[in-house]
Amino acid sequence: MATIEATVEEMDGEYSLKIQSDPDPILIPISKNDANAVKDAFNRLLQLVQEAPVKINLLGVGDDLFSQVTQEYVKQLNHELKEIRKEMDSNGLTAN
Amino acid sequence: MKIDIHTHTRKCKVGDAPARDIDPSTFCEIVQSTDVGIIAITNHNVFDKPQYDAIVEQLDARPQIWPGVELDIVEGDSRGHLIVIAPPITVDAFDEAVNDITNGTSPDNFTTSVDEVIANFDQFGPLYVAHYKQKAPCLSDEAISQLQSRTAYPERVLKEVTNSISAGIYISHGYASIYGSDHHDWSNYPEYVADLPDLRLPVESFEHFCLLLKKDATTINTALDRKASESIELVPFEDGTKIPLKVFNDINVIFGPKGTGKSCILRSIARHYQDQGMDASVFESASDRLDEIFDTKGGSISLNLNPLGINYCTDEIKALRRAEEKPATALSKYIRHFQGQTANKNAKRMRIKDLELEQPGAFKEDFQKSHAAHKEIAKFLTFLSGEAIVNEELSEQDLEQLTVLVRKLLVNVDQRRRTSLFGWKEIELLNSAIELFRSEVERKTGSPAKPTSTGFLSYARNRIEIAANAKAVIDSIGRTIPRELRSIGHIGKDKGELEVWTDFQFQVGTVTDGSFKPMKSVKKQAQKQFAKHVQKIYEHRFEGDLFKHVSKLGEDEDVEAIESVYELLLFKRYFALEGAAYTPSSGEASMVMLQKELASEKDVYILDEPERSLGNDYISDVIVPLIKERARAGRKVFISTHDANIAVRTLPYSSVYRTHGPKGYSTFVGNPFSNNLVNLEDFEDWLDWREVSMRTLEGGVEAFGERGTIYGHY
Repeated sequence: MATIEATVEEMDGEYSLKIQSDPDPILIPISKNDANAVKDAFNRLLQLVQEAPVKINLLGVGDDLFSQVTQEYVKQLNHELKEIRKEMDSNGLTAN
Repeated sequence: MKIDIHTHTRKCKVGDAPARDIDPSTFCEIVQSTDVGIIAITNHNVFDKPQYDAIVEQLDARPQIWPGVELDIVEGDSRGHLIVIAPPITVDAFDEAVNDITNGTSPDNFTTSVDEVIANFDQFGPLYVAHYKQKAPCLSDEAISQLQSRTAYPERVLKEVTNSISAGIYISHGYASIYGSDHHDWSNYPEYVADLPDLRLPVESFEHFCLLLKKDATTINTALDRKASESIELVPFEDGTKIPLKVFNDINVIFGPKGTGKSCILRSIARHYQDQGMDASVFESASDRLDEIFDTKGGSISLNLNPLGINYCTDEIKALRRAEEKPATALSKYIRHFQGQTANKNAKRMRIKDLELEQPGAFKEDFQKSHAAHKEIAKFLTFLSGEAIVNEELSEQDLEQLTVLVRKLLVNVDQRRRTSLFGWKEIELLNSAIELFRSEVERKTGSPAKPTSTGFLSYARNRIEIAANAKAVIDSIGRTIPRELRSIGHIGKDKGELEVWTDFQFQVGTVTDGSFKPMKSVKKQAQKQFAKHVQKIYEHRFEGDLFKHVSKLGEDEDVEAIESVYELLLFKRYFALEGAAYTPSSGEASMVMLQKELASEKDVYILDEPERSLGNDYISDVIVPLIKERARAGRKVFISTHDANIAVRTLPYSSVYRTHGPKGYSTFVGNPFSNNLVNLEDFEDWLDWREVSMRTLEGGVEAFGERGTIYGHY
C-alpha cells in the first residue's frame, strides 16, 4: 500500500486538496465546482491505484471549514480507492 | 476374392528359400487372414499329401485348396517349369501320379517331358500353368504348343506371367494368362495378396473354374444371375427409342465411339433412379469447378468460437458502444453539508443518517461465485445418477460414496451462497435506509445531508467496466485459431495427398495480408478501424480523452455492422500439398473431384468419361481400385468411357456398346466373360466383346498388337 501525502492549499482565495504525485500534484478543487478538474484528478488517481493500492494521508488538518470538509472527503475517498483497487484486481486491470 | 495358383509350402530344392517351409497350422492361420479364396499348392517336383490333408482338414473349405506340383520340363534345348493343378477330388490318384512320375528322384535332379506329363496327369483334367516369357525358367512356345495340341483340355493351358500388367496385355491378345505369388517367405504373404488376380465371378470349385475358362455360356449366366441385378427400361432419346438393360449392383460400362448417345443414356439412368427417390446424378469432370466445390471463396465457411473458448463479446461490444462518462460529485456538496449542519434535535438523534455507506462488493462477488459453483455441482450430480458410463466404471459402493460427498459439497456451497446473498442484500438494505433517512432529514430541515460518495466510486466503476469490456474484446481477437485441415484426395504416387487448408485470424488492427478475407460481409477497413478503436479505448481507459475513442465506434462507416468479434474474423482457404500452398493443375483437380464423387456414400454412381484429364497410371492405381471397391460394396456403378483401363480392367458385369452404322444407331449388350455383345434389336446380330473393345478403346487390333509387341520386350 502506497501512502500519499495531501494538504489543503489556498491560492487566490480558492481552496484545493493537493495530493502529492509525480510529476505534478493532483489538485481537487474544494471551494468551486469544476467537474473537469475533478475528473482529471480522478483519472490520475485511477492511474495510481492501477499501479498499487493507495491511501491518502491528509496533513495539517485545522478547525476551519475547508479542513473539516476535506478531512471528511479524504476519509470517504480512501474508502472508495480501496474498493476500486479490489474491483480492478478482479477484472485483471491492475499492473501488479 | 483372390486366386493364387502358385504357392510353395515346402523347401524342396537346394535353391528354395528356407522360409518356404510352413507347417499346416501356420499356413491356415496366414491364408485365413487374407482375401484369398483359392490357393494351389505347387511345390517343386513334390506333392506332400499328408501336409495337404492336414491343411484341408483345418481349413474346412475356405479357402479352397487345390493340389498341384511344379515340374521341371525339358523339351529339346529348352528347360522350363510347368505347374499341374489337379481337381481336389482326384487328390489321391494325383498323389500317386506324382510319385510315379518322380519315382524317388530328388527334386533337384528330376526332369520330365510334355509327353510324360500328358501321360501321367491329363486323365485328371488338370490345369496346366506354364512359365511364360519373363517368368523364368519359361517353357518355350514350342513346348506350350505341344502341350496344347496333346491335351484333351487345351482351354486349361494357361500362361503364367510375372504381374498383372503383363497378364492384361496377354489376355487382350487372346492368350489365357494368369500369375501367382510364387513367394519365398510366408511371413509377408499378406502383403502379396493385394497384387494377386481378382476373381470377378464367384468360383465354387475347380470344375466351376474350368467351365468359366471354357467361357461356357450357361455357367457364366448362372454366375451372373447370382449377382444382384435388375432390369430397367430407358427412354434416353427424343425419338422414344426404348433401351432395356439388365444392370448389376456392380460395374456397368457404356462404351462406343463419340457422338453415339452415351451421355444421353447416363442421364436417362440418373432420371430412372431419381424417380425412385435415390440420390443419382451424372458426374462429369469439370476441373475448373474445384474452387467452387471446396468453397475457397468461403461463401459457406463458418466457425463456432465457443469450443475454442473464445468469447464472442456481443454484450461487451454493445456496452462499449453505449458507454458514457459518469459525473464527479463536486466538493461543494460537502461544504453545504458542513455549513448547514442542522440544529434540529430530533434530526441529530437520528444517527443512522450519519453512518457511512457500506460496499457490498465482497458479498456480491462471493454470492456470484458460489451460485455458479452450485449450478455446476448440481449438474454433476445429475450426471452421476443418469450416465451409463458411471455405472460401468464405478462399483455401486464407490458411486454411493461419491454421491454422498458431492451432495455434502452441494449443501455446503448452498449454505455459503445463502450467507453471501443475505450479506449482500443486508448491506443494500442498510444503504437504502441510510439514503432514505438522509434525504428525509434534508427535506424536513432544509439542511443538506452529508454526501454518501465522493463520486469517485461510480466514476471509476464506469471506467473499469469500459476497460474490462475492451480487454475482453482484445483478449478474444488476440487468440490464435488452429488451421483447419481436410484431406481431399490423392494426386498420384509421387505427389501425395492434396489438402484444403483454412487459416483463420482476427483483424487486430494490424493485419494487412490481402489474401485473408472477412468471414462476414464487413468491410476490411471497418474491421481494422474497429479493432484499432477498441485498442485505443483500452489504452486510454484512465485518461481524459477516453470517450473520444468510444464515440468513434459509432462514427466510422460500416463499423456499426460489427456486433461481435466474429465480424472481425478473417479467413483464407487454399489447397496445400506436403505442407505448403499448392495450386492443383486441371488434371489434379479432376483427380480430386472424381475421388470425392467415389468417396461419397451413394447407391448409384454415374460417371461420364471419368478419365478426362487424367493420366493412365492414376486411372490404374487409384480410380480403377476405387470403382472396384464401390462395386464390391454392392453399389451400382455406371461408367461411360473411352478408357481401356476402366472398360476392360474392371471386367464389368454389363457392357453396353453404342455404335452408329448404315442402319443408324444400335445398342449391343454383353460382358467380357461370355465375350459377346448382342444387338438389342436383333438377337442374331452378335459382336465379339474383345474385338470391339480393342477397336473402340485401344485404337484397333493392329495398334494394340504393336503396343503389346513393344511392351513385350520389357
